[in-house]
Amino acid sequence: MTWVIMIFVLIVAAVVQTLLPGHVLLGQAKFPLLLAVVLYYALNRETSTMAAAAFLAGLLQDALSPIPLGYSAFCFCVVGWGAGRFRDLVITESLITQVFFGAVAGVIVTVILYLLLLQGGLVACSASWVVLKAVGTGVLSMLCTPVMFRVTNELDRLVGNVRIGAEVEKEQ
Amino acid sequence: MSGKKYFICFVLLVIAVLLNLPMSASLRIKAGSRDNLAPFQNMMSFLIIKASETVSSFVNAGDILDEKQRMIEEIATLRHRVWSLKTLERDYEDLRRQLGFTTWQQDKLVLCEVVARGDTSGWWQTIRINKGTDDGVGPNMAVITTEGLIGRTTKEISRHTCEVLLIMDQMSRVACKFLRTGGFGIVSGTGVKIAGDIKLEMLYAVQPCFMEYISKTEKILGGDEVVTSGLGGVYPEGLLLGRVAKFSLDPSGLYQRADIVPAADIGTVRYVFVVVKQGDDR
Repeated sequence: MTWVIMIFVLIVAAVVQTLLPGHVLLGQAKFPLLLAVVLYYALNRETSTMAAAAFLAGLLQDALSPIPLGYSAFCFCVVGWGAGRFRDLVITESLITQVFFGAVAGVIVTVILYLLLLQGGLVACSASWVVLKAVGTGVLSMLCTPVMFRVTNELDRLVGNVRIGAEVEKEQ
Repeated sequence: MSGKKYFICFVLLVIAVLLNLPMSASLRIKAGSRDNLAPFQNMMSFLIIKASETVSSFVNAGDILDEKQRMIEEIATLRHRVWSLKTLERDYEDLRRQLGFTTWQQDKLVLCEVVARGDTSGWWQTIRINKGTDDGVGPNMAVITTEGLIGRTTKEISRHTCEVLLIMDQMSRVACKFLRTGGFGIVSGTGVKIAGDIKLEMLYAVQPCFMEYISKTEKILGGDEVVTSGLGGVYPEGLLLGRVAKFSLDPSGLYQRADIVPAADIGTVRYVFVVVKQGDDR
């Protein structure tokens, strides 16, 4: 059922992310709902589950935008792997953890994506605009990551999915 | 290696393959994904529009009747004008035939609804429309509203949806000319910027596009209308793009520049037309 919830949440997140507009004052950054879902699986599930979530989220983001296929998946995998390294060191239910990881991940994904798009000659933005966009994505990620964590967690509980902690204990 | 590590390696391998796919295969995969997501997007877009209309009908109840009357009068005026233009068109075709020119066929207009503004990333100024290859829409076709040109279709097109690159995007280039004098130039988008008079709308603080490579001898006036020149093969000739707000000599001193305010209200556009070119008929 993990997969069912993952696919459902990712599809809804992708559609909503496309519809929500981006404000000029935040560099037209969009609410990074897909990234927030990837972070949830990075901090609450095994690496393999995070990799699947990152791949699907990246595929959806690229499919619904002019970004070449694979760029977003690469960015999400990098960020998801990095966040997963801290899985056992942080309290994932804590709001501060979610806000912090959301902010940092938002900035990193924006910068990596910009560099990839720039090397392909697909964007023509000034450096100041990119900085504004990265900060904007970080701010929006701080807001939406706790929400997506809560929503996905509730759906997981509803269908009886267990957390990685319980899986590790079971294996031991 | 355990099964899960094999799975992670498999995912990374697939991502590496995706990054190196040929453009045609990549576009086909994206088109398929977009078509599968189109029903969800259409449903969400429908719900948002209905909610907006419901709220608007309560808030603006008193203005609805006035607006309806105004639109009835406008429709009657436009119908009369279309009838007059049809007569002129007939005379024009007769004259062309007598002079031995080929018959000009009107371009076909495909009515589309905007289902999404911007993409998931926010790096480009785009909108998504609910028509695709099944409806005759193809890449690099002009997209207009009743007010003027707003952009062109891109290669990101599926059977039921299409991504439209707006004229204000920094990657947009349109070959244009002044309607009054016929002088040529290139109109480029400037993206969106934080301006001094920015309002609180969520979407676009639309900045003027700029037209450059205008001849130094060209006599430009404020308010001059700029239309597509038909050069370049993408935009048909004669589509209104905007009007001159201000003009000056380029710092290089070789040509003039002008700020062009788009004629179409891009920020609130809901219905657009894709111009499907028809070939000459011999």
